[in-house]
Amino acid sequence: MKPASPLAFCLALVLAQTAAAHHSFDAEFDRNKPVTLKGSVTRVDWGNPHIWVFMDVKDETGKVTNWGVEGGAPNALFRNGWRKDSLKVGDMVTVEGFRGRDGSMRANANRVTLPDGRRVFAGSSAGGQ
Amino acid sequence: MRAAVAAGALGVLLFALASVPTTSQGRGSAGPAPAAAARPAPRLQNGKPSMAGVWDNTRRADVTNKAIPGFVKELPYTAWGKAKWDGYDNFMQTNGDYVGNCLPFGMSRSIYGPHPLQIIHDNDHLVMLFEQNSMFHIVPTDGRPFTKDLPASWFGESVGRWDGDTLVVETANINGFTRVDTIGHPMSARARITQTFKRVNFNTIEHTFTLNDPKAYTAPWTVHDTWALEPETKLLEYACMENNRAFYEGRIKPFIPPDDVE
Repeated sequence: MKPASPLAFCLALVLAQTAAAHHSFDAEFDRNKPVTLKGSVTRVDWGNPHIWVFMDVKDETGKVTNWGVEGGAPNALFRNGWRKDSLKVGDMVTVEGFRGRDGSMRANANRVTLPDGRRVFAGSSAGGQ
Repeated sequence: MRAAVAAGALGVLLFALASVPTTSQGRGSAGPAPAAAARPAPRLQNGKPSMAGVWDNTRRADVTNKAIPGFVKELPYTAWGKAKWDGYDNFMQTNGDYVGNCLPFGMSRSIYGPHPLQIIHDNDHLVMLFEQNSMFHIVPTDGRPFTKDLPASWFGESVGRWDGDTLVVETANINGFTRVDTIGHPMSARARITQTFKRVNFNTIEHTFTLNDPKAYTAPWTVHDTWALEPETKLLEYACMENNRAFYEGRIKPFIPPDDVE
């Protein structure tokens, strides 16, 4: 196993610095249920303690379901380059995160791939325990 | 695969570096620039060092995390403390997490939280402004004693005194509802916190946090930190309940104060 690359280290650093564990991640989400969601943004609620992004996700049968995705604290996201309009209604994004414990259409976002291809940290508290 | 990972990491890095506004500095900076570090600590009118500034207070989700220098090697639990630690309900199914209810984080979790701390300081007061939940805590430094019969509270009550150029802040009257850190190390209403602040130069505070809680621990223990000044960081409003969907929608249960922390 090779030592971690400088880039991987930078990634880890960014993750470590911004993990803003407001409440217990485990109370609401399940770190053993990773999920990747691709879809169109329908609403962004930029507020404390966590931003929420809603998106329409189409499954393999063509059925569209609206998912709610929790991100980080707005202030921490702002300091890491996010802006209130970084995600806009209609943007096609990919969210990598963890599903809710209750099996509902909710997830905690760890990374988001933006329409321009940038894959950015979304402020997940999964690492903040 | 490796290329994809590297590309992802590069994307995050470039985004973080290219997008951060020039008026804001990232949290957890590597420390002061060597030239600036040589500047002496600023002084109050009374000649004592001023602790004023926005500080990169170390994020500690777990005070025993060996990856962060200054950690506590071993927590000397009492039987009560061990039972509280072993029985901690990380899934919050039996009681709502107080921070998930937007209740105060208390002193230790505010000091070690992910959001910045600003200190305002004059001859007679040190004021801590915590971005976390937009909380404040005022520490008189004029030698007054603790307030008699003051009801216990989340942050407790603090008084400060000088030991040479080191400011010593004692905190008591804590309600015992908070945990020490995010991971949930226990604390009781008998806890007494002693913090020391030593501004060793313009850009640096050496900080210690000692918890003396005879109900939870058989001996006091201390965390050591070095904080860097973050002159470009501006504290922002943190209105915790504005978008607390997890609580509004019932996924975080209402907090019930524990009845065994006295």
